[in-house]
Amino acid sequence: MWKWINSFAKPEKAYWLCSILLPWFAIVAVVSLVVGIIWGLGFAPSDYQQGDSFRIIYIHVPSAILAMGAYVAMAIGALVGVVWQWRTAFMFMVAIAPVGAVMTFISLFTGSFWGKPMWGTWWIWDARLTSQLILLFLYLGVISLYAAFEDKQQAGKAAGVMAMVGVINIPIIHFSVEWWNTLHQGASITKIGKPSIAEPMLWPLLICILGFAAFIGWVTLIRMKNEIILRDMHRPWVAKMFGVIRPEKVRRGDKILGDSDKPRGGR
Amino acid sequence: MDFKFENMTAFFDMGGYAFFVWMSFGLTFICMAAILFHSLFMSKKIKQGVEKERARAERILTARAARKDKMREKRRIESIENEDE
Amino acid sequence: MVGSALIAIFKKDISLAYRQLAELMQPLMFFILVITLFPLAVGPSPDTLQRIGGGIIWVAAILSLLLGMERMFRDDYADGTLEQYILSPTPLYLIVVVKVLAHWLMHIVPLFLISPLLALFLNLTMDMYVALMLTLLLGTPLISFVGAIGVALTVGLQKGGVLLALLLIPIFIPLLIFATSAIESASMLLPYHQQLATIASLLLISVALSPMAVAYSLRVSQN
Repeated sequence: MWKWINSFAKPEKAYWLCSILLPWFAIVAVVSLVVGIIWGLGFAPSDYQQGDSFRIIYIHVPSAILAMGAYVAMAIGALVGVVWQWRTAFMFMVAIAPVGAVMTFISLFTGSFWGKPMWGTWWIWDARLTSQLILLFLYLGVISLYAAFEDKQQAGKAAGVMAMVGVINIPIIHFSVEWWNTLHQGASITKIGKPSIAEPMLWPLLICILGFAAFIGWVTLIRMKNEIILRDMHRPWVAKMFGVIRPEKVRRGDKILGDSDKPRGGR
Repeated sequence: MDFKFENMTAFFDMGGYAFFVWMSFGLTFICMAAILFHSLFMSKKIKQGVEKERARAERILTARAARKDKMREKRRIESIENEDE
Repeated sequence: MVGSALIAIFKKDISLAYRQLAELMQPLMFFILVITLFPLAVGPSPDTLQRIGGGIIWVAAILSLLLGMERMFRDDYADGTLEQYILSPTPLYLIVVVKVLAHWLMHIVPLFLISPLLALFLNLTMDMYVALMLTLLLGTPLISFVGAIGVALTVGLQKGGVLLALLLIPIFIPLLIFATSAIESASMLLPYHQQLATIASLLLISVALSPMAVAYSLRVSQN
């Protein structure tokens, strides 16, 4: 079992897995986003207090939840990369970071568009919005730290440390929700078993969450495949995959695709 | 399970919140499409890069083979000329 | 053996910092200047200043400590001492703890000495001043320990300065919230043990975990 899991540390195996999973994520994402959003926009009953403006919930809540989820996933990737020295785990981390940042951004401006009719102002410094903003800064920190290094091997490790430091902020974010208790509605769906929103509204919300999650997975897989190819451009397995005939005798400094068998550090 | 709006005009009006609802849905769609197409574009570009490198490798190899043939041909002609003398 | 090596590193860092007093004074000057700007910007009304004073001092303290932070590992990285630390039999994380403590001591003592003056500037009451001192005492080592991670990550980069602030400021936000809320409670003569306890717990977590992260980051930076 352990050996089987560890085999995904190899880029070629991870690439293969990405290619297998990718269409499924794409199908689930497209289908459930279309179903969930149409259901939410047209068929869910409107809120008796907020009228139809509450329909923003069907993108606000999924993106807010999954922005945090993606950060945790990124930090887990970083942990796996640091502890077991998986190169692919860092690639996963780098792949998911921009997607998570976009999700955080979506949750911020949908919150703002929801806040304007409800509170009468575009921005309020309440706990949720503020912690989402901090989350966006954390994402940007990880991304810019990764971009600052020339050596991407080193960059992955450094950004990984930053991601793990940032993930300690996630419980503090939740704590801060308790700490200031302001205008934003209480956590509507995290109260498992006793959801405070009605069932006909909940189903499309759950479908939308599934759709957003699958969308994040889909884009992350595309980006991860990119990252794997980009990092392993000059390795034999990429050459083999793209049908490059290997020369019988490689001269030094040829820089032919797939010419260097020796790994450039790490596994 | 039925349509909660009387007609399409009411649907697009969203109970008076049309601007907020459609703006947030529209911008979300644009953001998601942007990250998706950026990723796809990147993968296309990387594939092109790999293809370019592949073509370059092939070019190098064929050029090398051609040069080898040429040299052999030249040597053969030279040896024939030497024999003639 | 380990103990004497650590003491030697501590002494070396302290005396190095003393010999570069000018560099040590720059963050302090920055701290005072930022605080001077606020009464000029928002008006000299004592009530306003008292209300925002705690927050201003904390923001200025975080920014000035960030400015001074960069030199924590920079010289050691530049002259190769860091490599020797990594290779030495003394555990790297103990060395990191000692260096962070030395750095904190050299940067916080002047801040403490100058703060009564600033409390006067911003019209803080005695209770607020005590709360400010307590939060600074518990909060600044937290800044040093967590900040050391960022410094260790960016030490190998030439353009690390702004990036360091970008990485670290979001992480200090909870600290800022609890510290300023403690000072606010003090201004209303309410107990603020809870905030102090929270900052102390964050400090303990960071003392326990950050040296390991710093040691790993230094190894990554040294490559």
